[in-house]
Amino acid sequence: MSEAQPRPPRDELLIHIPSLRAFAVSLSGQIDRADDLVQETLVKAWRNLGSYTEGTNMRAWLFTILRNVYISDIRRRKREVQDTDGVFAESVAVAPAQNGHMDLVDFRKALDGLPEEQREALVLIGAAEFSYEEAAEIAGCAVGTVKSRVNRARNALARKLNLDVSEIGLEPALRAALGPQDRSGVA
Amino acid sequence: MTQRKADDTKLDTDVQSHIGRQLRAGYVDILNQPVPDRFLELLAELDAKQVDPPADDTDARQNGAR
Repeated sequence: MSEAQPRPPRDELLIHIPSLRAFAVSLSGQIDRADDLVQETLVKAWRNLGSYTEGTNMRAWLFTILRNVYISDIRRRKREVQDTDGVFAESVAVAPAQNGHMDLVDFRKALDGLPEEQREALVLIGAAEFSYEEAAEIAGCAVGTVKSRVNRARNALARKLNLDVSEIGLEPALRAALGPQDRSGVA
Repeated sequence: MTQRKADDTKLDTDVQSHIGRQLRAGYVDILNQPVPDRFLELLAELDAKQVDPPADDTDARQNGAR
């Protein structure tokens, strides 16, 4: 009797739900929509467990499914509603948190404004911390394409956020210590 | 800090790490949330039903334009 009992698929999937949600929110910008995407992803994954190769990267496999679910969702939405471009941007997932993270809200908006494929590449590399090779597999493109998308995404974000090296060269804590400059809305 | 390329395809490393921190912060925020009940229920349901693979062809369709 071999002891190498694989984890039951249910537990295996469970482990990856937090990162699937994080990925889905990063892509869609909305928590509700993200959870619907994750739900569909889990059902699809469950049905296709047979096509998952044991011992390979399950997180990457699930991300690929989620990514495809997301893309077909976009297509569906584009077909259904053609004139509500502005609507999605309004309901940003990251609420202006208690700790006054205005930075993060601005960032979220800028991220949402990127072309889908650039946002996807940036999130896979910069947030989900996949390798370029893994990201290329998930996004179904060449490694070089991922690299250039990530570059373009970073450049676009830097432009949108008016990032100036002189402004952000200091760590926030250090900046705070040096004196309040932009704490406009903080009571 | 020394490699300041004038062309904008190369971002300063400070800018890059700033973007990286922001990106990661939003991501980790969700990552650290507990798994919502709806997913626990879903998995339990799938497990109980042992949903049989009905040769779902939506996968094949989803990359093709319609």
